[in-house]
Amino acid sequence: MQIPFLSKFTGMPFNALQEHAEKVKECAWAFQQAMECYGSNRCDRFEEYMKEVDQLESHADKIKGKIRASVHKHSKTPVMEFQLFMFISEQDKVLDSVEESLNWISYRPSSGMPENLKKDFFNLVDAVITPIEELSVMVAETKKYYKSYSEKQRKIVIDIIQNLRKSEHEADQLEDTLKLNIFSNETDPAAVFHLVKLTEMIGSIADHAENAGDMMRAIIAR
Amino acid sequence: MEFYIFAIIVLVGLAVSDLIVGVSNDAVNFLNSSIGSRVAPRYVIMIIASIGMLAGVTFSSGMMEVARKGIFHPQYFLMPEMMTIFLAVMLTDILLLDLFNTFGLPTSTTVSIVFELLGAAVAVSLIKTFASEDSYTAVVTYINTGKALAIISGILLSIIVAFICGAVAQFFSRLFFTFDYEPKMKYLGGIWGGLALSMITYFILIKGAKGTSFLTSEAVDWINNNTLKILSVSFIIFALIFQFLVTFTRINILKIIVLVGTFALAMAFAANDLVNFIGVPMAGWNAYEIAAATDTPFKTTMEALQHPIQSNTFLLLIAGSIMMITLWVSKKSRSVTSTQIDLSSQDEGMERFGSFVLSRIVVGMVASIFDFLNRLVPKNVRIFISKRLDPSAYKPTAVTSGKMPSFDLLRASVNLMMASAVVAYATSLKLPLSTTYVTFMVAMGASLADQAWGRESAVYRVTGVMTVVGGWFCTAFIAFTVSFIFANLLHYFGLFALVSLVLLAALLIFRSFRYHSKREEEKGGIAALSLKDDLDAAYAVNTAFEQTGHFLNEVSWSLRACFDGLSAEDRQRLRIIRNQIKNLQTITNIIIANIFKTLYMLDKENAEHPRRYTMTVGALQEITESHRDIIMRAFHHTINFHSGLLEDQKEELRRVRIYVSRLLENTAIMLLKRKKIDYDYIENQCEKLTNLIQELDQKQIKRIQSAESKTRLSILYYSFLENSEKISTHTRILLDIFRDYFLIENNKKTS
Repeated sequence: MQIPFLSKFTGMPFNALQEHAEKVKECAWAFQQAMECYGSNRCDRFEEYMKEVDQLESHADKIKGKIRASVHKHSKTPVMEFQLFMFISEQDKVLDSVEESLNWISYRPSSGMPENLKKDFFNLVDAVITPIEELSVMVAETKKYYKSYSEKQRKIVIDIIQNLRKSEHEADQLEDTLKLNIFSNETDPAAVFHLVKLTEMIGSIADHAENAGDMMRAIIAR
Repeated sequence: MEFYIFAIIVLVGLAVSDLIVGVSNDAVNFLNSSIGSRVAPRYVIMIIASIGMLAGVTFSSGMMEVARKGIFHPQYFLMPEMMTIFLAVMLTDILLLDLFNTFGLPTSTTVSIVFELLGAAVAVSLIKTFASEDSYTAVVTYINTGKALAIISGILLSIIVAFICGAVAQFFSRLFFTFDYEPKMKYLGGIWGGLALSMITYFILIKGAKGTSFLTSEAVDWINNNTLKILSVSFIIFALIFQFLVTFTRINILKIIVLVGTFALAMAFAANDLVNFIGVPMAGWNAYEIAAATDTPFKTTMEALQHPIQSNTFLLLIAGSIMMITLWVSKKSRSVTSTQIDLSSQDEGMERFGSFVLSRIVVGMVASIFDFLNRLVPKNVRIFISKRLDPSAYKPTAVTSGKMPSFDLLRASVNLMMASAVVAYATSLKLPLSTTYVTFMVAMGASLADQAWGRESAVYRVTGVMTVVGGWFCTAFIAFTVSFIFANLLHYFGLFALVSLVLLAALLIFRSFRYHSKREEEKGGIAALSLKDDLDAAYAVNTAFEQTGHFLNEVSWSLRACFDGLSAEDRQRLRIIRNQIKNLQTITNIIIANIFKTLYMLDKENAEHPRRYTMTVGALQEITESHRDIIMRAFHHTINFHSGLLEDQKEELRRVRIYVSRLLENTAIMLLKRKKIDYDYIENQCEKLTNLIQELDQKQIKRIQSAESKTRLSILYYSFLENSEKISTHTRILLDIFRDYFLIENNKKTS
């Protein structure tokens, strides 16, 4: 239960949260660019993107530290503090998954992406990027909600969370289709293992985005 | 009597609030010239104005009569009726002045108080007449109609007189001195300084002496009867001093004139306008004291208020201190001052006001009249005048803070001199006027004569002046009406009405404070986008990249909000987005202006491929236009209650919006962070968008054929698709341009 007027005096670190969400989004785009580069035969910038993701991840870590310090200082209730940490943690896991996926690709750099699976991979990446893009919008709208405490604004945030779940569901479906195609098209066990695991890793990116949305839903619950 | 003690406490609180809102509005009168010409650092100007104000409040003791007997005849009213009038007046005054401050519009605190007193007095008089079953014409008995009409007509007349005086004085001053006035000051500085300071001194004497507590009435009479002598002697003395200064020292005498003028106007403001803020509460206190001293406090008439009462100097000093603090800290005061300065600025730039039919008609008419008059003047005279008044000789230099003055010191001194002269002359003739109206109209007249309202800005400036002057008439109307209503409420509902009105006032002021802060933040953000003139080309190019990046981000966020609003058929949200279009268009215009500035700098430095810049301008305009079109169509569709998007359409447009946003924001990142452009990625995104649009086009055709989607809905749907495609195309053009720039820069570095 939040008391609107009093809550105004116990600030949530929204600017830092927004900054963190923007870093996650940027990282997701860099990941998409890296994947397209990996899928293309003429791109030599894969390493560059890996470095970029790495840098963005370390920036995001610094922001996370700032948020933690700020939450300790202005914490409203232990429950709120816990939910907020869980939210950042899930948002952070998006970054970790992105980094892990790129690392996983780098273990078999020469194999490339099978031509007949390229489109499915790109579609999957496209689908997991969408919920991450929604995250920064969700934080921005939540910030507005904590200013106005209007039911209408809360509804906007809830709608975004629902969109996020929908996008995650679409990503799950694409993940299943891709796995099916891998098993039906690839014969090399190492390639199957590598590609299936990569598919699951990419799919987990959207899962973490959905979890972050769920955490935000708990934060704004009345 | 407890209610009236509470009423007195409320009046005291309202007096403090009124001082704050009043100073915020009136500060422009004495700060305009010095801040506009940047005669000294802001803190110096503020110190001088503060000293002037403190000196002024001590002169103010005899000026409280207008509140007690200026507008109505107190002998016909009882103490409770007087309290009703005074409470209604103060509540209205605070709300009214705060409203004007919020929008940065200067208005007259004198006019507002006069009309509030009139409104409340008429309301109470009507109630009395109604109760005594007299004819309604008896209201005239209660109101000091003669004085009220004199005040109103005097104020209206002063508006025209001030404008003409400002224009004529500035025209001749410029004719003598030209825009390159400094060399002429060596010869004419003494005369000019003598003229200006003798007028300002006379103004100080006539305005200050009128209400002073330490000058005898004989001394005041002597000043009034020896105007010419005072003016002549002070002219000679000041002329000699100033001629000495310009001949033997390097002191800029115009700075002295402007600073002394600022002091004089600040003093006159405190001396005269203090009555507008604390005169009414003090009269309320006097009424209470008079009634409490009798056995029948509710039946005692208020004849005693007709006699002059000497104000407490200590109270006046407290009032002066509150005014001083407000002057230093009030942000609304800065807004009001900037309105006047922007309207009289010599330079063209981002105009604060738009244009409307009436202003265009006025400008057209005035231009025709001037053309006609031009033909009547002999050619030689015309050439002579246009040579002397050539504004291209105006070469302002930035002050230490890097900011440019809005006009030169000659104009500032004319503003102060003429405002002082008009106010002092009218006061000596006992004609009532508004200092705000006079200073504003003198400033506008002077800027007109100085050709500050050129072809590029005249329509906007005239709109601004019309808005301000229109606001003055609204002041009178609102003041009368609201005060009339409040007085009725207070009379019929007593304590309940008083508490409710005080709470309402507090709520409205809080809301206006929030609104103003938000607006200032937006304005500050937009103002910060403008490039300064004294920068190098590389910095300008980098800034143009950054600004374009921020602009693309804004477009993306706005489109997203628009799509969400359209999907949810949220009219309020769409209205907010529609209202923000103007801001985005302003940002585009500033970026385009900055690109032209950059182009100008690059020309100097042997620019390569200037066509890039014209293409950038075109792309920015197209993106802005497409963005505007999407929002306006979504807004009109929803506001007119047309059927909402079908579920399939929502999902399809969401996908389109995601690609457009991704494209815009990725391009923004590349521009903001100078990230190496992954052109393949952008190309892929664009291709996906184009394919998607083609696919959706087919789907929509099927929906049209099956009559699933109505005509208006189809128009909206297609406009979204078409504009999204346009935005993506022009974003790509922007990227091409910036990629070329990077390539050229890299080649330069490597070679």
